[in-house]
Amino acid sequence: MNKNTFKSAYSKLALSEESRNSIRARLMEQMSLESGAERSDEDDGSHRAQEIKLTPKKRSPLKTALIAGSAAAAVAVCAVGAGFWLNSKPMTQQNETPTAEVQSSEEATEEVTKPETDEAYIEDEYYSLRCANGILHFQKFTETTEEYSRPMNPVEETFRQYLTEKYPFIRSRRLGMDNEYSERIEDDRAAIELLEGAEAAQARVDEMVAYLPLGDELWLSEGRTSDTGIAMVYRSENDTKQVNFSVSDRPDEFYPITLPEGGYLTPVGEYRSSFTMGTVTQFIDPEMFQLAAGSVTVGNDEYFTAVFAYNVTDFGMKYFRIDGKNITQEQFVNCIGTVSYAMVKDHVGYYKDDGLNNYNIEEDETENTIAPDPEDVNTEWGTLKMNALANKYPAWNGGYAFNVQYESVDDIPADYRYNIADIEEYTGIDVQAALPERFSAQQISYYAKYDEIPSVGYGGKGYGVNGEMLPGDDPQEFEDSRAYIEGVYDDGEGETVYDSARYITDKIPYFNDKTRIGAMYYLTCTSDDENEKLEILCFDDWDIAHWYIAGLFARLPATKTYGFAGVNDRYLYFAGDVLCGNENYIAGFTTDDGRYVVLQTCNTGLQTFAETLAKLFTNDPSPAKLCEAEYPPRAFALGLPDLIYETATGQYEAGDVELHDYTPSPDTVYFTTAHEALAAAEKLGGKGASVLAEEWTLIPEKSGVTRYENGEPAELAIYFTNGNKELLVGMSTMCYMDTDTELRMPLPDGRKMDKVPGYYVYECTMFRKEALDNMLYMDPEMAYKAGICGRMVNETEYFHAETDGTAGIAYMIDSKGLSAEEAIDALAVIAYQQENPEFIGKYDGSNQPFHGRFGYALWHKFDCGVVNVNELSFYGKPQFDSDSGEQETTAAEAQRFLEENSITVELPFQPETVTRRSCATNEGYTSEAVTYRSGDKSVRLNVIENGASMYAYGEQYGVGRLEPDVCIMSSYQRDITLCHPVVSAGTLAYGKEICFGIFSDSATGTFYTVTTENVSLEEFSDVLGQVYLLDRTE
Amino acid sequence: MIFVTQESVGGLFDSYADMVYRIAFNIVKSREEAEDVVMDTFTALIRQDSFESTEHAKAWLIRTAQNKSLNVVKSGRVKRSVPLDELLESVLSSPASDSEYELLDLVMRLPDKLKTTVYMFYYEDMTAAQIAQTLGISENTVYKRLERGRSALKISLEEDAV
Repeated sequence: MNKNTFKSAYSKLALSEESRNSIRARLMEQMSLESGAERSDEDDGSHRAQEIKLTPKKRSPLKTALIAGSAAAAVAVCAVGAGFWLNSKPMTQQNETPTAEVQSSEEATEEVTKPETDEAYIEDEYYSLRCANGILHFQKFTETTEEYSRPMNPVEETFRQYLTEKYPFIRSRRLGMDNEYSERIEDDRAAIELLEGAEAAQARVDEMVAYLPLGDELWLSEGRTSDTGIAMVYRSENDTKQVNFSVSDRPDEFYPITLPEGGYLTPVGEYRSSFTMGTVTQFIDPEMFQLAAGSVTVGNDEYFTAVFAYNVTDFGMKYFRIDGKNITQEQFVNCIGTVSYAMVKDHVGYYKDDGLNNYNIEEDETENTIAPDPEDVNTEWGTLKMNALANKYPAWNGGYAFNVQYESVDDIPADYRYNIADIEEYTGIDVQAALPERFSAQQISYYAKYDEIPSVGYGGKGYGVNGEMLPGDDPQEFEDSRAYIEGVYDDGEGETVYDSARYITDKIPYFNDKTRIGAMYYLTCTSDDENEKLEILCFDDWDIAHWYIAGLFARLPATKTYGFAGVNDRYLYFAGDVLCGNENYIAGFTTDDGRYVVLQTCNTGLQTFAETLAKLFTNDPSPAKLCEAEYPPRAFALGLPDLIYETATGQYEAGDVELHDYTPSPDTVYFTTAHEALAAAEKLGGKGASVLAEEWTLIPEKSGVTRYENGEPAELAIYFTNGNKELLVGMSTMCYMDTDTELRMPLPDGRKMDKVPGYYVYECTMFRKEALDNMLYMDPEMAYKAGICGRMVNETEYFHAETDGTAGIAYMIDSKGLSAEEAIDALAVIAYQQENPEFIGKYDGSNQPFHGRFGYALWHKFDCGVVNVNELSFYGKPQFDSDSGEQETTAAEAQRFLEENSITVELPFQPETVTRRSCATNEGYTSEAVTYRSGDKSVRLNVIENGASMYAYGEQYGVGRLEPDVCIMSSYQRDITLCHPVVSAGTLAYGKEICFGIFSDSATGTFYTVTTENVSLEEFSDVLGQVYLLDRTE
Repeated sequence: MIFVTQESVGGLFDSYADMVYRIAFNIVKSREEAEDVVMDTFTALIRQDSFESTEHAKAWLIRTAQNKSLNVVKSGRVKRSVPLDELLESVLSSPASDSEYELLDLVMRLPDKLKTTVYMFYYEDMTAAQIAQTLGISENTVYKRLERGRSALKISLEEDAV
């Protein structure tokens, strides 16, 4: 089995043509609905007038009252189907400048010329808002009558569809409510109300309305276009509020809200606000755009205006204008944020100051999460301005904008390798000399993109560097480039297939005549103990680097650091924070030739980071220390997968760490004696604490009860010490994820450590004691759900682990100085309440009693087909309503039973004993089995009627039942004529080879099982084959 | 930059519908449910504004498909003991060889958390770093899952195991 087989197999798992077409059609239909374009191709608009309705087709109750209050506004919108259409008739009754509105649609534009006035309105007190990627400063605006033109053509197409097609770069094309969105709200409300009730439905409605900057207060009432621009107008029900949004290729084309004197607002002086553009990953000298925003009050009306412009890739220069009248400042600002690159929020990415990782977080938990301002951080090479670092959800990642992707892989011919020397050649920086001694390069990656060659991103897709040859390509060179992509290298002595296409290199002739337009070297290093990670990226194209930048500078543009390491003529950017429970730092600067160098580290500590940065920044292997500095202690999350995965007591995988401020509950009642503490613990959660007390010293004054139920302790914790080690064990009638009263052992910084709930909440499985005793390892009912996380602080390991309390009592531990294995064992001791502390040791990994055995290599071909071994699991005992138990019988009686069921088998051994057993359930399930034994070998043949009435295709074995794992129907025997699916499975328990096979007669529903102990797979297969072949086809 | 338009969505669907379907089927093990996940995933896609590139959209699709599939499994809509052989017969676009069939059968029995990682590594040729970024897990976890998957599947990348 190799990778090609894998790909070949998976390529056949595909949507059927019918399903594909159906889904595609539904998707396109949905897309039309989303865009407000449901008009069919046949709909030429000629019957549009007939479908114009005076009121929205469906009304949100939120909106109903508003609509009922004004027929004038109602005629501003009309609905065709589920899409939103603009009235093609002039709507002069709503427009403040009717002279412009009464123009026919043929008149594309109208020039408005009025004498200029210098009179400026008195603006409000200037307002500023710090945004994620810039600062919004309100500024002075004045009235002008300078000439301009308006888009005048009523929109011929559905407006949102038109916007989508013409201006896809506008982030959201919906500022206020429209009919189509209103319908979506109603649809959602109806569906959610049906499924989850009115409250949930209303919450959804509120959420959808809140999504709009103007809420449902202003409705889209007008749309205008020209060859070069577009404008949309939102109005409130009584026409007192209005927002106009214009975008055009021309600076003098827009649709302003005119002032009472007939002019419109224009900014005074330079645009004062600026924001970064493009991706939020780029923290070094990002491109900016300027914006002017402000408000003035005229009489009782307040007017807002924002103007800005920027060059949009592939679309050219675009000029934007937003006018608002009598809306709130917040609505106005949110409109700016909706249609521009300005991000009206505190920070980019997801910021939490507790080190919560980004694995599952998709948004800040609270809207008001504030990232800290830059702060000074002292190092021996000078002071760094540390910006806040934010989590980067994958959605923030850039794409793969490259078509060459090389990653160092063993066995790559030297001619095709990249190495650290290449980075030095590329940047002029001695990267090797900058690496701390304890670090070694794990991987050097190289990415490049070439002009006119589309991005490939992942290699090995069979597309080659290009899907097709470019003009002028040499066919052989092109074919060679495909070979590299495919992962095949011909070294002249035959083709070698590599395990990955990670060596797509441009050191092949195909690229000789191509133009490289972007490149990146990416060096990954780890420390000797693998706890620290250091990466250096050197590139000239952010499109390539996006993916590999580990975090986001929380606010852009970032604050610069000048004068670091004595370099006074250049600057760098630096950020740091705890991400994923780890201490992360990122810094970057540009080289003299304009290339970017980024250093990012995880858990190295600030000193190592600063020293490496100083070496890179100065290109000096020994930059002079400029001052003394003290560094914070190293602290980082422990990645448990590297330490432990499976133990005898369960399966553990480190959870992600979050850190919370912690103050012990003032209601905690501390114990006064160890005896008192152990007595309370034993009463609540068993003898586990007492077991621990045999080896550990209990500190009663640090142990206490934190919650009572009916006067009895319902949650308590016991504190132990043992030399330098500390251990706090807790037990509670509530799941620890649901309680906030628990007594904890805080980390040195005073915070407590918790595991971030994962997709499966606790993620780990901890077998219950009964499961261990009875070998019921695979039975989910016989396991706790458990979670564990760890953190290293000042070279001391801290762990927190807990169970979900499925047995009625939840347990947790906090440890200091214990290894992961010791921490897990401690949790097991209190959870198992085991009197003998040696209990845990009995289940060391080498003696793990029950291993599922399955896999490609485990199969056996027998006369009628192939036994393919599936995983066999061990679950709880099946529940029979009647059970004879195993009764000794004679060989003749057993033979008679088998003959009655048309079974004749030749056993692989001479039986010493024979037993019969009959079981049944009231639902009609009957099981008649005969078991042959000789020494430690056995063969059991079972005939089961109405087997489907049982909840599983199982066979009782010992105190549990054997059951093949999920999806076990393998029909690998398709090369024979029989059509009954055979399920076979194997396992190894306490040295016994257990095999189990089952198939059913589709005509009668009868199941036949064969279960063997300590016979070979071949012998089992022979028995199964004999039972299977017995005239089942007739 | 790819903006979400009918044209771009159509193109992404044509390119990645099968990928989404495979990821979904891996987890939900039901043709109907997997098709629903495809629809749900692309419906979510059309509500995005833009993607940096095709590969960005692809990475987004992978993660979304996996999350939606896991949601289906968590919802309990998918029942155990689905006869996979019948299911595979019904979903394969062309006859599979015994070894191919065997491999699909085995992959389907991997724990859910391993399947997508194995698929992305072996089929999509994504590196551990890329998988880690896409799924939002650490590289170490990727390696661990690959190791477990490889062990279970008895896959040898360099040579045939059988």
